[in-house]
Amino acid sequence: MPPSNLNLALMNLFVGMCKGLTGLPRHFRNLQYVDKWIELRFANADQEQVAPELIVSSRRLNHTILFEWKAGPNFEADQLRRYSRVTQDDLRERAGLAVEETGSHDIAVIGLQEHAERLTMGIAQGPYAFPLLLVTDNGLAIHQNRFRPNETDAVFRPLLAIDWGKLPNYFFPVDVASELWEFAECVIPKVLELMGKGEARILPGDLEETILCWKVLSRDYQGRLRTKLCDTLDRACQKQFEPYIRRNRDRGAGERLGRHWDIINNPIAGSSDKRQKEWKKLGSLYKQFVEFLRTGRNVPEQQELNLRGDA
Amino acid sequence: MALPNTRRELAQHLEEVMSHAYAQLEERQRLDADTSLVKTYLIEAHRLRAADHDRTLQTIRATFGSEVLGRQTRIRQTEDDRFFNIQSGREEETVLHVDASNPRFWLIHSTSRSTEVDPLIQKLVNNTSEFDHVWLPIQLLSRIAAFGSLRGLGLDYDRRSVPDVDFEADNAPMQFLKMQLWGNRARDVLHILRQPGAFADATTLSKVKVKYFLDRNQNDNAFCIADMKYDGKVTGRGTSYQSYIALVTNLYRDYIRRIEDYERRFTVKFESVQDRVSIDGEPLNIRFTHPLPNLEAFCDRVFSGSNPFRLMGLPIATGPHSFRVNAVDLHVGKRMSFELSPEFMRVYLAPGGCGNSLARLYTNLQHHYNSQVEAVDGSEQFAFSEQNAAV
Repeated sequence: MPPSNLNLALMNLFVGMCKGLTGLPRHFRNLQYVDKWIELRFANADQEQVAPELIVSSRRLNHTILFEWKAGPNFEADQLRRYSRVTQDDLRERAGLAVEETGSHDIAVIGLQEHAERLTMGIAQGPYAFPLLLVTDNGLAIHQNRFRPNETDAVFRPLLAIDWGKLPNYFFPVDVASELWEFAECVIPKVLELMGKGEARILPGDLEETILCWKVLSRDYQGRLRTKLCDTLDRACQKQFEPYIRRNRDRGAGERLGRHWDIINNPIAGSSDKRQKEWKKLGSLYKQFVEFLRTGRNVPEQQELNLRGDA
Repeated sequence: MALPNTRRELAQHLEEVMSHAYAQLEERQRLDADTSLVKTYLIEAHRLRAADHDRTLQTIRATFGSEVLGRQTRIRQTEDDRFFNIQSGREEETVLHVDASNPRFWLIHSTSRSTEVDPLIQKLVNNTSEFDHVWLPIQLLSRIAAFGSLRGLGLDYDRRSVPDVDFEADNAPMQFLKMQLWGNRARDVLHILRQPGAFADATTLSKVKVKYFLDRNQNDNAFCIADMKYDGKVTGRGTSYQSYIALVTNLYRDYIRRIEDYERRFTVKFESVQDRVSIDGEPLNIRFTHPLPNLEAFCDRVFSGSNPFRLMGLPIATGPHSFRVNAVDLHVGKRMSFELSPEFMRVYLAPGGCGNSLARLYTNLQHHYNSQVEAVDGSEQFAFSEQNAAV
């Protein structure tokens, strides 16, 4: 199965391959590609803006790749034209890349196999020499054109095999298209961390910390993500975590702190072994909450058998 | 016994205990009790990395107080900064000498019985989120053995802690293997056990006994013999406390450097300079020598929040043979993230996370899953270097 969220999947995949994560193909790492910049906006030779999703470069091959990907069927014609006007000098002077990395460069465009025909037409209209990669059930393959270095081109021929279920998720865990249960995977461990530390209050900033790239996102995008993070915690308060966390609706406090929550019952503060059972109980509630968000169904709590007969 | 009031007095006291014990051992070929041995526990206090004397004392009062050591606990400050004596018990007193010169990496010395001190240290680590043992994987213990001459070793492997296999099946792994080997041929036996077809998967080094001379050219009568365990407990005898403490601190400094290095390398951070956003750091890659037969059962055990892993998390399936887990490390109360398949585990430290947590996970996988499990970085270099390994 190809990934449900193409943007997150490809970002995590290419960063992961450059960093040499186990379980991913090692070709990029072996060719010494390094993940350089995420969504860097810079001007081309005509003073027009481009903002590739990711830039990677290899000193060994003296080569840079600017990645642009789309889940939909069309690339904007104007966007492709602007990319075609990016020069070696732009990469060095405006994108902060070294001379040793920019001997040649490629604009790699990636889309879904089901949109192959439309994407091919878009590239052919230029015509542009951009390598077009297609996401298939089993990996990534070059469909049109080629990478300049033979070694890089060979990586995707006939197919770069990828088990999409084994992609990393940590670098970019969620985006605005992610489901609330995916946000719950970020939010609830953070809530447990705060409870373990004995905190009395949960602020939006605490939730934002769970998204590593938070500070580099635009304010508008941050706002959209914040809404989802907060909605997730609100749902937790109404469901499984209702005995422990409550939304603070005091108007004055809300004006000062924004949307925030009080920890009204904390059985795990201090993390003592004596509270291990409570940790387990909260872990079980976390599981039920994620299941509830995923399926819309309440999952009954599993009772632990008291085999020792303790009171 | 008068309690030492300075580190210098402590050194004198421990020197006397050691040399007396060794003289007794030479004369009678036996020791009266292990009260004559010097014990040192290497303890990591992650949250106290920048603590001053008062903050350290405050933590000691909160954690060594009645909850851990019982009502009879008395905490004594000394003339030296961040050096404390802790007494416990009414009749036969247990005494701990806490040296927190490095506010994060403590040395706790004692000459009291191991049967008294070991449970206290265990309680201290288990009942608080302030402290953890130091965790020495096989490669590091081997390296320590190279500091001196090897006089013996211990093996400790127990697969029953991670019950993801049917031990009754034909190809089931070994359930447990514990062994003590003393004398100069210990290394030869270990070599045989590690041969293919023998017990390579279950031969997990848990202890090394090392004879160490501070400076043999100057004085070949000044030495120590130290037993160093994988959980950071060191027991010493011999003629020279200076040799002993030099060996212990050599080990500790090496360990501290590594832990700080892991925190730098294995914490992923987004860096932003003038609109240019890059990602620093990488995960620790753990590779299983044989694919895990039951990944779900493995995750349930490792992320149950129990000892020895102390990780509490919910495994979420990401594919037919893969999970991710956002867990809380109960030692530091910080999040850690994991991505698992039957062949590997990627481990991510959150910013501010503790490198000791990586050492704990890896060491305990060696002891409870497979002694040949690998930990590598993105360059496929062994994360826990084997350079200068002697065993």
